[in-house]
Amino acid sequence: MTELLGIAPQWLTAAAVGLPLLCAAALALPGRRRVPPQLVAWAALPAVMAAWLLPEGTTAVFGWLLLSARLGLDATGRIFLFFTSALWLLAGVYGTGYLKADRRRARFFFFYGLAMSGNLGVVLAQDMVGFYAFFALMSFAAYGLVVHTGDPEALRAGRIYLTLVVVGEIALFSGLALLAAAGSLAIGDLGAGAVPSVAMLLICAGFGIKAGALPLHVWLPLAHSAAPTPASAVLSGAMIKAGLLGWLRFVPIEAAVSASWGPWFVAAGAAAAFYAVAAGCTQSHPKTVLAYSSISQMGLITIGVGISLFSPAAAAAGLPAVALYALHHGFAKGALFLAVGLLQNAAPGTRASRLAWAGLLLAALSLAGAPLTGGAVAKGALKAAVALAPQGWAAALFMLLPLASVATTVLMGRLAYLMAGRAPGCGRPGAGMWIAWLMMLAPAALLAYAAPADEALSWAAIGAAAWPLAAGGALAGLAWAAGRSSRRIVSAQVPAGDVVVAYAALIRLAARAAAAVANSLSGWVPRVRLPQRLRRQSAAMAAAAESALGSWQVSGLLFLIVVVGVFLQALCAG
Amino acid sequence: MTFDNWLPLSILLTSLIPGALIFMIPEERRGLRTSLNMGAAVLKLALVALMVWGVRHEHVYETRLPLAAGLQLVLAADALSVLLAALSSVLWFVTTLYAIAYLEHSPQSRSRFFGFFSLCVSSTLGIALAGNLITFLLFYEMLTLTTYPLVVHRGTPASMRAGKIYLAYTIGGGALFLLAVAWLTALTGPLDFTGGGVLRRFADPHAGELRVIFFLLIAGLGVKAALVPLHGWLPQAMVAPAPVSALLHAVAVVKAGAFGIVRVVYDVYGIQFAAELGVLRPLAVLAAVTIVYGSVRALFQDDLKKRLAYSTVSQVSYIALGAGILGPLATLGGMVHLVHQGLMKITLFFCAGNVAEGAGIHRISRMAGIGRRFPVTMAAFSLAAFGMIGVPPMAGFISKWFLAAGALAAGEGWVIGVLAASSALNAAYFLPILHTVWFKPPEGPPPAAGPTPRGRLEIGWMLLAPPAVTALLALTSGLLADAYLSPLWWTRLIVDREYLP
Repeated sequence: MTELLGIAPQWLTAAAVGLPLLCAAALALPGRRRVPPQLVAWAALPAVMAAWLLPEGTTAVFGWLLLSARLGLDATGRIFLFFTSALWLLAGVYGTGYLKADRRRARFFFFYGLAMSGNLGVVLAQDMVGFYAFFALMSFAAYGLVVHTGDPEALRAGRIYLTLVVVGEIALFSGLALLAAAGSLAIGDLGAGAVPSVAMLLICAGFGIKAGALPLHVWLPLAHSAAPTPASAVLSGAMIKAGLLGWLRFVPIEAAVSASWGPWFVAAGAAAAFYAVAAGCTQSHPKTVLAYSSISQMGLITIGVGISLFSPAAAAAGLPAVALYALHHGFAKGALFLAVGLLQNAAPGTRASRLAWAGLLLAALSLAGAPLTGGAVAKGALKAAVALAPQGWAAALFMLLPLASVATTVLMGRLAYLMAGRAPGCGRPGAGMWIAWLMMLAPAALLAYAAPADEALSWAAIGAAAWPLAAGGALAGLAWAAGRSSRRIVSAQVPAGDVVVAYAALIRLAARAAAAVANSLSGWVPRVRLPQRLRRQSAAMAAAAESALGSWQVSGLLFLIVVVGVFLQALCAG
Repeated sequence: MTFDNWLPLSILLTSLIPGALIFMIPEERRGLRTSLNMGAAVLKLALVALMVWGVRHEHVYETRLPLAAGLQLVLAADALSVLLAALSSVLWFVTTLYAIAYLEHSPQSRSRFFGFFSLCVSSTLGIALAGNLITFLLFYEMLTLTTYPLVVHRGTPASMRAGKIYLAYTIGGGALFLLAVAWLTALTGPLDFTGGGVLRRFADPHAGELRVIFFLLIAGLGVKAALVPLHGWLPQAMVAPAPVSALLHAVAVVKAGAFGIVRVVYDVYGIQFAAELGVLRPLAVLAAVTIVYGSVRALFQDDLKKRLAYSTVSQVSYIALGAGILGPLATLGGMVHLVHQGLMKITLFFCAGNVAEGAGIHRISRMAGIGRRFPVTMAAFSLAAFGMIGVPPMAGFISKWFLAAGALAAGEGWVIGVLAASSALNAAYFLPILHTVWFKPPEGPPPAAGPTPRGRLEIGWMLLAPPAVTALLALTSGLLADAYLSPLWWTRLIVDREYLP
């Protein structure tokens, strides 16, 4: 099909990554007033095209780039590229309207373009160094999105975000170096040799930071809610999945060594799925609730990764399920964030507001896995993979997964409660924002009808998917009623980022200790102190040399030759 | 004598002769001095480019001049010497441009400055092209003496004090080095630098002495390479004018020390033999300590140039670290950092100079929001800072990557920890600067000092182009690491010639 259009694959992959970069660079040039910032949003088009048109298994080798970079598309990559490119495009279009009155929108779109290029590059990269480079570009550029508003909360979120980015980068550098020592740099050939468990741990943690894995998730509720809404959508919808893709690419799924890591992934994922809901329910900011929901959903995806590590058979079902779940969550979470932004802008009671409410509820239901929505399909695929896990695990997970749906429903109830009580908006979102939002909502809701398997549409499946929603809805209603009668329950609050408070205290303590050590060291390694007489002599020598070199000028060279001659005489005598 | 015999000497003379001539140019003949400076820089670039082509095609360039009984001045071009020669001639070109603009309003003698500046570059090239230890020593001492007037150029009490400290350290180091060279020469007779080393055949009765001599050599070189605890002079010497700091930290003094260590390890002892003597591990540990210590100290400096100076202490030791690990990958990482560190650090100092010159700002705490005032300068600074942290695709990442790979291949896994700590510390002292510069609102009216920007440029083009060019070079040497004639490509050539025969 690409031949049909006369586009060579290497050009399409290069354009997918390069165009956002070029647009961002154009924004940074001195004459930036003349470049429309929203151009950056449309720079995602080549990537959208690549997701549709590139045949699977394409690899373009750029021998001159980095350490022979490879860009290409495989089956997993196509799904990731599909939702990643769409999210960046749609959120960018939405952002064009959202930030119309922002005087720093050129700066916003500069970082947006860089992060977009990084994220698309992560999906397309087929070699370790390229992946790492794009991952770094994405992570560091997203800092500009997080702190965009410049208020103290955003700055704090940015600081915590950046700290964890650096920690993640370093963990990844070490882990990938260890992994590279065991094999080659091309992604297809990884894990051929024995992978040391230190490398596994570093890679899991390094990507886990991005994926919001417990207990490395602390930056996420802060950063995802501090960023402007379109940036929140790509942070929670697309960039968070780069961490997941990192796991899929670099954890050697088929190798025997990984089997022992399966239980850890499953346990960590299950813990995140429920803990994040508990913490999220106490939040009072809608976007923070959504961020906690992302942690919870990524927990479910982590369970899928863990199952894939158990056995090759489980991996065969688990990996597609993981990719499908990521795709669904990307669109649903993006649509939720954008709906929150629309509702905050639209005046209540208007048709626009009702439409946004309907969309918000639809996306929320889909996220919870309501029957006939995309969420039900994604959850169904995950369940099918769980069936292939070892007996005990499968039984436990069959019990946990519906409970996770209950929890998600409760959390979405909390979101609706907060949105209902929000301050009324007064703006009028433009048509572009509505269209972008609807296009993001459509796949989240309608995925069910695109899926080849019609199991999700059977009555049994509908029933199985419906009861957790009913239970969750009832629970949320109970909590709401209880909150009305006694304020105390609702006012119990976990600070956004929960354990980050403890981490910050620890870091302050460590910094104080380090400063103390450094100060004592500076006393311990002094400047070389010569004895008094020698010091006076050398000072005199230096003074003499000074005046000589200062006044002689032309004879400076002569002086050198004399000195060198003396040295050589000494040598000859020796 | 053919042209090939004369080329190394001519390269040396292209800055030695102009240097001597500049001393005689009257202060007010600015145009003449500038054209002589730039003409010489261009001529040297052309000659070095010719030499790069020649060495690539296995030409032999060698100048031999008798010095004294049994001693020869040997200037020869192998792949390693071309690496430093190319770096220093490129950076000399941009620094000359920068220095001409930077010192335009300087009350001190510019003829003296540029005279010694040229001599300093001649010494660096002499060090690069030296074919044996005697020649190396000669230029190494010459470098000490020619840089001193540059360090004290301002003539303020602070710079005179820094100059004294500088002299005390470097002359001390030079004496140690002289002692070591004399001892070694007495033991073995004069030796040319040879790939793979030449000392193995003396190992039988002299192994103990060779070990002692190795550490004397490293101590002598370590003063200039700023190995802890011999680094004290470097943070002091940052009182020098910005172009001098840039040159000192990127290519001249500090690099001379590091290059010397590389020469001693690979071409005098031979890394295999050094490993057998058991002297490599202590060198690597010393370098590792320096890397971490320099970064920790940098963290607590508010003066921008001082922070950069401590950062140099840390970064230059990557080169020594690479030399301290046996194996081609580590060699690659260490040697390529000769170039990478030079490109990145010279950018940082240029930028610090621009901010000091354009806005009178020296302290990081006062740099809030100056990204808007100096967009190009600070963009270059940001690129270089990311490179120092080791973020791809900047050059610094490539060095770190191969050092890590080499350490693992040699079974020295602890090095990964050192690299990780260094990256973390680098991030901790560079990222806050970037945040301050780009995201903090400017505080009050910008301090009015120095010339106002002309036209649309934030500062004169001669101050702006050098950091922009070096930052782009630092970016491209990482981004295009595998391209033909990239620093990495060239270093691979050196490593192949070093390990294969």
